[in-house]
Amino acid sequence: MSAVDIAPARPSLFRRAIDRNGGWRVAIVFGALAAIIVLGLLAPLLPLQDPIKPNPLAKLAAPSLQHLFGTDNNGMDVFSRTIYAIRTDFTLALSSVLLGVLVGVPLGAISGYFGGWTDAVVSRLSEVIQGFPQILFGMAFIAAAGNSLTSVVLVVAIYNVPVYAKMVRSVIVPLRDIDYVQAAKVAGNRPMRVIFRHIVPNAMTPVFAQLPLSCAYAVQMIAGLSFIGLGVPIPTPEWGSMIQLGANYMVFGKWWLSIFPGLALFLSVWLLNASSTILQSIWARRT
Amino acid sequence: MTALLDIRDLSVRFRQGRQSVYALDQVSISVGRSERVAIVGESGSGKTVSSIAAMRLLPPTAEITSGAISFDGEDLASASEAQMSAIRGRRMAMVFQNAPHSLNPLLTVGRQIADVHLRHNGGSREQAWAAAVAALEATGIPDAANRANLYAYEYSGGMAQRAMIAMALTCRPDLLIADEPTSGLDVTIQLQVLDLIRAVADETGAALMLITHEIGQIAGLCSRVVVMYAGRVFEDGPADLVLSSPANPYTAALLDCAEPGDGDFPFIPGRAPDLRQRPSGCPFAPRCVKARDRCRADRPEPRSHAGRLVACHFPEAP
Repeated sequence: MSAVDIAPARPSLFRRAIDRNGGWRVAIVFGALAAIIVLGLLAPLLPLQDPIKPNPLAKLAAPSLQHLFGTDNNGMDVFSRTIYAIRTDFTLALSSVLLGVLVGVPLGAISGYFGGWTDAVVSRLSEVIQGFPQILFGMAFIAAAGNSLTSVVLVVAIYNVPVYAKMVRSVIVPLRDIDYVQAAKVAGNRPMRVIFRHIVPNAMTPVFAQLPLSCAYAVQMIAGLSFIGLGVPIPTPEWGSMIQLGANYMVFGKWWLSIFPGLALFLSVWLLNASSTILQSIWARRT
Repeated sequence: MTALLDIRDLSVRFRQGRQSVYALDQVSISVGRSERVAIVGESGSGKTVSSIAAMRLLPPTAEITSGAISFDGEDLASASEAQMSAIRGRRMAMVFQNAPHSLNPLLTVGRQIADVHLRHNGGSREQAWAAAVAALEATGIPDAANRANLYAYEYSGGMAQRAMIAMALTCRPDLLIADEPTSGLDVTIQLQVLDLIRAVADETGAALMLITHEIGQIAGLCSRVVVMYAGRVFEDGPADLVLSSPANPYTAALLDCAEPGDGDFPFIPGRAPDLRQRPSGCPFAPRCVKARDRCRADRPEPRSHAGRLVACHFPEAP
């Protein structure tokens, strides 16, 4: 009998997610989220109309079998655009969040580990960024750097850096004096190795739980920036700019221009938030 | 011959808000090459702080107010962080109490030992892994090749302590500091771990600094005993001498506690002193059955007495 057999069996992550949230909840949230992502990934393969092809003969057409969600003022198919917008919004959101994690986690780890002067600089800078109104910051940044996808990603990434830096810092401060970290130091590991091999991997759980939440927030922010005309340039399908476009026609009873991308945005943000809650419940200690 | 580890007149103070905790007060401990020294005392007597200070891993709230630490003639107080990390693990290794928590939960035990080997000896990953397995084998872990692939939570307390000893000894250090290596283990395992420490010290010729609060563990393992109380050295001398005829009343009291008589368990009345205050007299005086007026007024300094150092105004005549 090997030691593996004696070791107490720990329920798998999936098992714990179901135990704490109920099977249906997990299935619906992750199933729907996966469906959205798959829909976005497979969009070019699906029999959809060209999302950026104007059709002067069918402007502002109401939902019909031909155009499930109707068409907009340029005669572009709203259904196809709503689906293609998954690609735009999710890619931008994910890349900006990952960029934020990539910079924020090491920054928070170093500031938490060394404390003192480094910590003070990182913490104060984080507070400055977080204290600044985000849309205002986005407007200023995009006005200065130009209206491009890169600027949008950078704005959201810069916003995410302090979120992760602070989160990792708060987890690392108590880990700093834990036994195996002390043991790693005693074994002669250099500080950077102690941080990135022994501390950071043990501090990543809240980061994983936070990821979908940040994505939800990033989707909102990208849509928000696009809504005020600062995000994704126009013909590219994107929920925020589609909602903005439709808002002008709302009063004339052309509700389908805004409602469908709005629903898609709402659904995505809600599902991302719900999946974050489930992830948090997996790692939360039961009281 | 100079000592391997030489702690001289070391005083360490911890800041605690506005107050100061005087953890070490003019402590001198030296460990010679291949010598085995035990440091005994109650909780809070400064045993662990001395060893952490030797490794130069005191937390930022601690402050060395006086004294010097040298290792193999090298002054550790002025060594750079890079020099220290090259010494730690290679020339000076340490085993903690609470071994299962001293292993990183996300790395296999073998990986962690291989890491230490790689850090100090270089070579390839395969060589390091082989060295890790060999080290585990040397500490008596059966089926080491497979167990190296397991994680800390799959190890029992005794096995984890063996793994820690293996990690400490992969680079054949000159000095092994064992900080209460047996606490939290059951009695049979305690003896095995002590035996193991003795065996590896024999084999590698490493000097040993055994920190313990169980005076009974020393006999047969260590050649010298340093008794600490309230951050001060109370008695320092050859183990057989100190254990058979203690000169300091505190050592005598500790020894009495280790050998319970018929049905009654002796203990030292009172409690360890509050290190935030520094009494003018002997810190043990309030608990000492032999305390006199001079003990309360005047602090005894360690001085030679009957083949050892004793800090007591009225040492027991051997």
